Amino acid sequence: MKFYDFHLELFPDSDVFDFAGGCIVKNFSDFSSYCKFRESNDFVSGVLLNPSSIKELISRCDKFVKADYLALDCRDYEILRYAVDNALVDAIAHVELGSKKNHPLMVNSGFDHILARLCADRKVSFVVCFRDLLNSNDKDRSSLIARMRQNILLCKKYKSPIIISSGAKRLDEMRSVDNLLAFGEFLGLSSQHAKKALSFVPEKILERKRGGYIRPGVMVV
Amino acid sequence: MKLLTSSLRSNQRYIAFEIFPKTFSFDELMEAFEKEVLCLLGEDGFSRANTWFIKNLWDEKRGIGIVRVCNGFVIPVKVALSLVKRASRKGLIVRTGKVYGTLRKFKAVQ
Repeated sequence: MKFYDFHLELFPDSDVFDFAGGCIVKNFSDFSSYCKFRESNDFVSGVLLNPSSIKELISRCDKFVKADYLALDCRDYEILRYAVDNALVDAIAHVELGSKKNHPLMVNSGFDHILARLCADRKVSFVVCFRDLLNSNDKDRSSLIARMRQNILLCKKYKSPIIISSGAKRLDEMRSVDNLLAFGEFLGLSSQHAKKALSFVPEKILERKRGGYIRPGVMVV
Repeated sequence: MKLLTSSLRSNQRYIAFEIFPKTFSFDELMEAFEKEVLCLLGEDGFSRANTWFIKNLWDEKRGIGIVRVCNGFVIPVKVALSLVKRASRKGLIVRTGKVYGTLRKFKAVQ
């Protein structure tokens, strides 16, 4: 089975990197700079979007519609919902970050059953990054784990695709396949599901992009 | 004092791990590891996990070692080990490896 670290933010070091492949996501200003970056390396190249409004999201998604992988890094629920509902992106990441006030009956994780159902319908993946946990303080770590567990629970219930990644920005944040599998199981996935999150889901994203997929019902022929 | 009978003892698992860079002593590592495991599992979990870093199987040149845990705590201890960022103010990456049921098997593989 081939495993992929699909949400890296740096070029991996060969000593530590034991994956079959990876996807490097970056924030690009225009599509030409993205194309240059894509040709300069052997890894899959992705675009990380952090829009502040729905208008900005639409314009940036139109710009990078032919990118191999589009990931949305956003804490705003309305933007997330719009992006997932219209299948503008391939994945949503870092949803559980940020200071949110918890409800007495549930953890406020920035992700609910509506988003989970939409993710499953529109084939938008939910990315869990190990870096978020690694860089959290002792006090925040417990609430972050609770949020991640709740999001994974929702994804499991509605069968939304999940990607587990190290999300590394520095070399010392990179982790091995075994560590990430354990991280997935720690958050509540079965070992089969954790393996799927590291191999099957990234493979499917690449496969559909190579087949000309843009969003449900739209394809380059 | 006599040992507990085998039916009362919990089953143990042995987690192999590797560190980068390979410049740390056993005591430095053990301090960092125990701190992180205690932080993630809490005092109750730490006592139940019964972690034991085996000193005579620590290979300082290759940076390979082994930690013994109780059967149900393999995954949390693996996550705790991968959360270790630094030991004695130096950056550190820990890669956990295979899980063994007996030490004999680990020695045979090494």
